[in-house]
Amino acid sequence: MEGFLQFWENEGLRGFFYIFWFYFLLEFPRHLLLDYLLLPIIYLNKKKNQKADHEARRKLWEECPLVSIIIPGKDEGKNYYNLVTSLQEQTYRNFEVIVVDDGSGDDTKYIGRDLEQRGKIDLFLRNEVRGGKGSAANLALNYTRGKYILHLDADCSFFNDAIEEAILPFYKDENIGAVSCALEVRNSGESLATAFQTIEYLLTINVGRMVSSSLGILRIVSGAFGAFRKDLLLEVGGWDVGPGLDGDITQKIRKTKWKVVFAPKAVALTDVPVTFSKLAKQRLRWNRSLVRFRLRKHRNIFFPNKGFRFSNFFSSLDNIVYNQVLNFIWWFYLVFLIFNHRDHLEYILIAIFLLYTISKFLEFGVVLFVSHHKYDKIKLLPYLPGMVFYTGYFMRTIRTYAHITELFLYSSFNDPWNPQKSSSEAKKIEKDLERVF
Amino acid sequence: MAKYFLNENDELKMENARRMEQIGLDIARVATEKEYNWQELETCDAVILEGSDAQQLWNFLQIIRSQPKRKLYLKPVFLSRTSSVASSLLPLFDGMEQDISTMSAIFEKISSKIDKLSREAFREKKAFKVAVIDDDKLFLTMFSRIIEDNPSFELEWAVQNIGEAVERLQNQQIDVFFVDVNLAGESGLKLIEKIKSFSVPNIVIVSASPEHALEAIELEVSDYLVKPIGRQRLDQLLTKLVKNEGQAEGKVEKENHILRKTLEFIFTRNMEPYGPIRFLNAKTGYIYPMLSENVFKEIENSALDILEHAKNEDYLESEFFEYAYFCNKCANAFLHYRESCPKCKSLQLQQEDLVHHFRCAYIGPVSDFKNQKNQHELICPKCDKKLKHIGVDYDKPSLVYSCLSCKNVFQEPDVMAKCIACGNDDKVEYLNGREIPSYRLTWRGEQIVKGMLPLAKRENGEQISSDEIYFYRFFFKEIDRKSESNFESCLAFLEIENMETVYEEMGHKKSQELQREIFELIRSELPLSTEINFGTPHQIWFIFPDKSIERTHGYLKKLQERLESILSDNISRNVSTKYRAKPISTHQSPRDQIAELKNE
Repeated sequence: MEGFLQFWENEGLRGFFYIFWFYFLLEFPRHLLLDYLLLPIIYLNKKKNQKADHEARRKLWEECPLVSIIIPGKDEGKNYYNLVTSLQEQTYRNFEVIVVDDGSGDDTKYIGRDLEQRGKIDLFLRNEVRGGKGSAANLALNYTRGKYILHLDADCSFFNDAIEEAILPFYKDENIGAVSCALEVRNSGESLATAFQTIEYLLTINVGRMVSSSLGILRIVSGAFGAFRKDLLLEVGGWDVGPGLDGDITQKIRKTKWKVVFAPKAVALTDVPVTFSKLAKQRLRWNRSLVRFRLRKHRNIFFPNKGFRFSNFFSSLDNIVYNQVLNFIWWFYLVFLIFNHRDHLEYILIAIFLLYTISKFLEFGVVLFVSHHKYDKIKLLPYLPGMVFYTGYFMRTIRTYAHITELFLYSSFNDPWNPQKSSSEAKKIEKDLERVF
Repeated sequence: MAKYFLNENDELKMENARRMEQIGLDIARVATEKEYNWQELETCDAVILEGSDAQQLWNFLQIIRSQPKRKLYLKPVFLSRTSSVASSLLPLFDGMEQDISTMSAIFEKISSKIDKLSREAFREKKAFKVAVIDDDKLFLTMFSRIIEDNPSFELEWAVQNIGEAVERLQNQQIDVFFVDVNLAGESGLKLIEKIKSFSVPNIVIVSASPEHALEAIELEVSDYLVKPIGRQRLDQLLTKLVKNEGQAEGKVEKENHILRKTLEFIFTRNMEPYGPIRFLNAKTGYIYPMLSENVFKEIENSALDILEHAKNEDYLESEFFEYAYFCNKCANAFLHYRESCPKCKSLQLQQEDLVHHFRCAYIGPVSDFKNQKNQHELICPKCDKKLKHIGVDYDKPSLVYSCLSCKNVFQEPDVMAKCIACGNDDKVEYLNGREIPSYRLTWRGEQIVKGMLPLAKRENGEQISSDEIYFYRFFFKEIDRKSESNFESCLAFLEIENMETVYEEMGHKKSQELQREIFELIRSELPLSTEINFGTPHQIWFIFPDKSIERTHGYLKKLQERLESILSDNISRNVSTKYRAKPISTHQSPRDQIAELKNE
């Protein structure tokens, strides 16, 4: 302990900054400073926009448009009952429910048919042959009649005003084409992994998306809970082949004239993977789509062509820099750090831990500020030091592995999440795109 | 002797003709259907058709009946070696009843084993045998005249004193007994108990005043007439009597009679097995010789009920022969099956394949992919690529129906069955399926035929009470009781929404089963003292004597829970129930209290 203090006294503030330049130069401004800078602006805007909010709500109820809820999925039958029950409690009632069973091998088709006969699902479509989630969503889209489309995952449940809040933004600004909604973790108490994910969701979704939305660089509308204008979906041709199709479609939407915003009050709860190994699998899939879609399929965002817009440019750039480039650099930085300070390695590591822990607490302060049910969130505080390892090492490792395999092996096209037949077809066109640019 | 024309088409014809002549029939000619001569036919009084193929005989009969030159009324009489075919054809002709006696006369001669009962089976409905007792001579004469004027009543005797009445009752079966309550010397009410021991099915009280009405109802008399009695009032009574008879004893007795005849028929004809015969003109598609023609065409399937009863009583043993579905309303087996839109019931549906284009994940009906230039070429509407090879770049994962009248899209159409006879259109899930077995006589059955065993009576189930008058009477009594001493009683009702629609969808048989289940549930859940009135299928009324409003609510809540669980087990649609209760007031009439609770 004495040695630790001695070491850092010697280094001084200057040395501290030099050693942790990675944090202070790159991470601190993006993850903490920006949040705290934007927080008062968001807060003031909210106060100012209360009247506009009220007006939007009045317009919404006056028009009371039909909302089509589409729920594609495979082997989700067991979740249907809870899902439709959750939907029946909604404050906004003018909706139709279209469920697509994408070639399930279990009892899903019987459960769905039964609920359809009982009138709890308006249309249940069953594909005998699996086609992938994108095609299932497109099938549902084909039979929707509503003005707005809500794309949901079957394993989610919703706050009673979720639908109302999800379509409200369309009435605040008529240029809004898609609304990204908040996702929180339902099974947070189940394991250490789910507790970490709870914090992660709060940081990246509740705060992260609010910040990127107010900067106009929101890059994803979660597949689990997102709202779209139907005419916009038809304009972009619906969903393409996944995995990662929610980021992909958001990217397609960003290339049109329509805006994408975040609706923090529209909240859905979802179950997250309980074990670290399952979580790793899920995140490998998510991270590969960064390479596949942002770096490859939609890289024309970076080219000064007809549809070029700076917001799109920065949106992708932010993602690529912070999630990919810095991710790689960080490993070199780590090696460099260890190599340079191999005599006092333990002091360095302890300091990293302390630094990032403090940082996490500060980040979490924003969460507490913006979110509802603050008491539930305070209960998560003891897990925050653990988050240093979770995001700092666990997620980084997964991310790096995912990016490398996707870059060199195109692994996402072999992901069993999507049937091989469409993956291989998609690979052909997406590779064609690479050649063009 | 009458001349007969016999049509015969097998080698036994001459022998049969000889047998006819033996029993005194004059056979004019024996011919097959191709050989017959119209002029000769005209001179005959009757045609005897013989053969074993019912359809063929039917065709021949059509030819005879369609003859344009027909001047003579031909009496088609059927005869067959098995005679099953012959008798089965009989109910198919309208206006043929008069031939039945001729037929049975012939049958009587041919086979001495058929007894006189056969005629009784076909006899017209009898008149009620009536007796009257009254000490007023003048009334007796007047009333007797009124009764004699009514063809449905047959006055057997009218007496003035009890002694005579009892003597006559011992000698003669009486259907309706009119009793004066105020007989000189003895009360008519005491007499009624005496009369009951003679098993008179209907006792009607005649009185100058309504004062004994309540006691009379407790004695379970059929009706209570107050002098003077007009013709109209008597007609009213008659309807009631006919209804009672139809419901209870009468129907059962008639069915038992038919069953006995059928058992005898099977035994004497040695029909092994006694099976259903496929027949286009029968409602169920099959007939059971001797039995089917003796039940009304509207309820032809009751032949199956009678046989099932016989099987349960071990007179017959059954063997699987056929299974069929029947119309819920009229038990007709001829149904049209077709798909319909679950929303608007339209039959105009279009079925289309779904096409999934792999590379862009577009999926939609095949018509989305059709293009103007070449009908058979498929082009993706999303990415404009030509589809090349099924299984490689696209597939057809499923199909959808779309309704051409309401534009509804769905994958599972309702399969509906329309009854050709009555037009009733039901979902196939609601159809009643039933086995149509073939039968064999058992040892017990044979004993019945030989007269060694009595035929067990078929019993009606417990009647579900819906006697509103009785309910009101109970209500009055309860108010009376309450005004004398202080206790709490409650009036309540339980309502099941949409129940009529549910019953309609379920069809007669299943809805009756459900009704009975509900009835039994209510009986078992509530205390015995509760008075229940099943007024309509969806509203049930209760009186809870000596129960506080809290306890009444307790009973009803429990009942509601159990009822809802039974309903959700039986019905796929959502049915909600509600109940209301209030303490009985002594200041209001029952009718007002019921109306008040209903409209609360």
